[in-house]
Amino acid sequence: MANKLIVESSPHRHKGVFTNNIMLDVLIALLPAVIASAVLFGFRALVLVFVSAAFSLLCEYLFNVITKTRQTVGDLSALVTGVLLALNVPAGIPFYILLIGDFFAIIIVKALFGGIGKNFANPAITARIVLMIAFPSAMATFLEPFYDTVASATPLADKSASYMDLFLGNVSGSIGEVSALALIIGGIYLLCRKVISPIIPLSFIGTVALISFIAGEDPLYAVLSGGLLLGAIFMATDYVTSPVSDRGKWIFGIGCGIITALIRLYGSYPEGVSFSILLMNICTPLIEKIPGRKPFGAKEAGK
Amino acid sequence: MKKMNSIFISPEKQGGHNITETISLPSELIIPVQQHIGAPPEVKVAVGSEVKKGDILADGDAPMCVPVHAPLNGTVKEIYDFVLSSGVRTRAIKLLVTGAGEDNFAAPKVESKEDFISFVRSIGAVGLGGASFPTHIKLNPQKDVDTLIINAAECEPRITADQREIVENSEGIINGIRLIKKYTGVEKVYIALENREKEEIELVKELIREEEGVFLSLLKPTYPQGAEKVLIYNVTGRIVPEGGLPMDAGVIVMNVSTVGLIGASLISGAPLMRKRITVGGDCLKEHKNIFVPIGTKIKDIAEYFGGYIKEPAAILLGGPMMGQAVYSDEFPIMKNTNAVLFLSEKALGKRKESECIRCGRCIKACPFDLNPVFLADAYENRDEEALKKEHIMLCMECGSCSYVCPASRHLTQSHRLAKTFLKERSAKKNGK
Repeated sequence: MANKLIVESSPHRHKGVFTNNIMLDVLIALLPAVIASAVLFGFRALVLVFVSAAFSLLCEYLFNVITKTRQTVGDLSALVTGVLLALNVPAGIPFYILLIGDFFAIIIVKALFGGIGKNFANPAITARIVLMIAFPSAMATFLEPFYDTVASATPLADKSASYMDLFLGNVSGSIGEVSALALIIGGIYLLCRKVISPIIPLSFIGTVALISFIAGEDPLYAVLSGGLLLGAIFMATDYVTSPVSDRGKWIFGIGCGIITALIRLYGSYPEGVSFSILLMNICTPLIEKIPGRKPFGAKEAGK
Repeated sequence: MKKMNSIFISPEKQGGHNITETISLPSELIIPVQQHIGAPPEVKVAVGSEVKKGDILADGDAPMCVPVHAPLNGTVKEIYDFVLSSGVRTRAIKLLVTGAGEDNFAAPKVESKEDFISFVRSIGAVGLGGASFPTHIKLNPQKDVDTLIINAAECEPRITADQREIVENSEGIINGIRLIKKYTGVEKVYIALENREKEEIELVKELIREEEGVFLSLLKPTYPQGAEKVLIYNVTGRIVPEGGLPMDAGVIVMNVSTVGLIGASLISGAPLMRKRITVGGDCLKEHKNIFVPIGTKIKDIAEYFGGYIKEPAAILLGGPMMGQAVYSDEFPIMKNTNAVLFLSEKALGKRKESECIRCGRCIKACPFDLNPVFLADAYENRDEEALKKEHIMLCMECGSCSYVCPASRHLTQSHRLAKTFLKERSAKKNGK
């Protein structure tokens, strides 16, 4: 034989779904929300998404080059972070603020902790919170859809929007969070492609609805308004920062729901989705430690 | 009943439904003497000896020892040290083939259990599904067993040798079943088949119509359906305890080809000398089943198929999920070989390892509900306690975790190393 044979440990076959395929699926699932943002908030929303995505990719590329680590832009996770962060800001935000957010997400939250798989908090969520605290007015100046005017308050604060407006996204808010329809289409796509498990979105959304109902609020309104759907479907389901076990996912989702509902009802911020996800991200390593999974035929320790 | 995790592997290009052909006579055979799990046999021939088809080449007195027979007439050219694809070191006999030989064997007399067990040993029977566990030990369990499961669930993609066994040797199989029932005292026999093998299902139904206590068990065509413990659970609902054998669950599991061998040999008296193997892969023109004498070199098989259409990047003995990659096409076919695959780099579909993204696909894929990524990390840290606590020894190396891993992490390999690591550690401790 002319060439040398590859001798490696079995299996000698792969399913063919790699990290970049999964990230591409997430990007496809985000497409309806991106289109909705462009329709609702105009061309500027689209530019925000593209600039944010491109700059995130650039940050990751340069970090890998400067630190002489393996180039990881090919896994597309930076692109997902960039798009997600853009969807989490108001349409009128100055570009430099968004770029600061991208830098923070990719470099501080992800790369410095060791890159993909090693970060303990969701980069886009953390960056959003940083921007909310560092640039409170820019991050809270929402525009009305179809008009370039500043909205008085988001529907989460004034509770005046109709269900149909909330469902389609004809309300003020961050560019990607307003259209429930677009987000649900994306969520269904992710479920069908088996990219995410339904446990976290359902338990998260369900808990918020339940607590809102108990507190005397309209549960459907609570689910459709604010950043709940975007957070529950796309951010809380981030593999790296949520538990891997089904039971852990239940705990994570319910925990997110409780914190979100409590902040909405009693906190000084109108919205609590980002904080709840970040707090539960931090709890994830602890949730993973809860024992209970028993392998088939396993003997108890000590024998 | 809790469902065991499994994965679905698309069967892709199916082939190998032909009537098994017999390969043209090879000029030389390489016959390693250790072709079973257990004590190594001694070589019973010397360089220069003339052997006839069916002559014993190697045998031993230890209980866990199985003889090896000459598959063809020939002259012993060389006896030398040989490393198997599993890494085991053994002696091997190089046989210059002088002729096909004749099949004139006396049918054995089997009248008692002792007769039966010694007959099974004398024909060199081992588990033909891949494990090569001595069959005479398996059929003489030291615990009460009431069930025999005949494994015909070929879950590895591409392999069809067992399906052909059912079609071509149905008489041998039913004969084998009757014998085993009679001498081991099992009450129930299940023939486990994947539910997509329509032709075989009809055949088996017909075959067992008159048999008492013989049932057909249809299984989903998932992977690893044919793995011993998975099969036992899915057919009987019994769980083999950690570190235990099937007999601990009252079960004997045998590959359908092994049963067929016993049944056919009882009539013909012929020992195990040839194997039906599925030959395929994208480097060959065809994908079919052939009979080859044990000891046939891979190279001769490729030649019989008309050579390579593209240069193989890897040659596997066995299926793509659990088969062993060999380092050379000079390697011989052994008793437990059920397939030879010639795969190009594209067919391997490998990528470089990247970081774990904690997607949890490996956990969802593991039939035993182990946590592969945690175990891999524990091995990285050589953390003996964590490995034990998470039951690494349950891992049967089916490869499902590596197959689904989006980061192409070498999880199965890590588990294999971790098990060896634990064994070495405990051996060291016991040695002190």
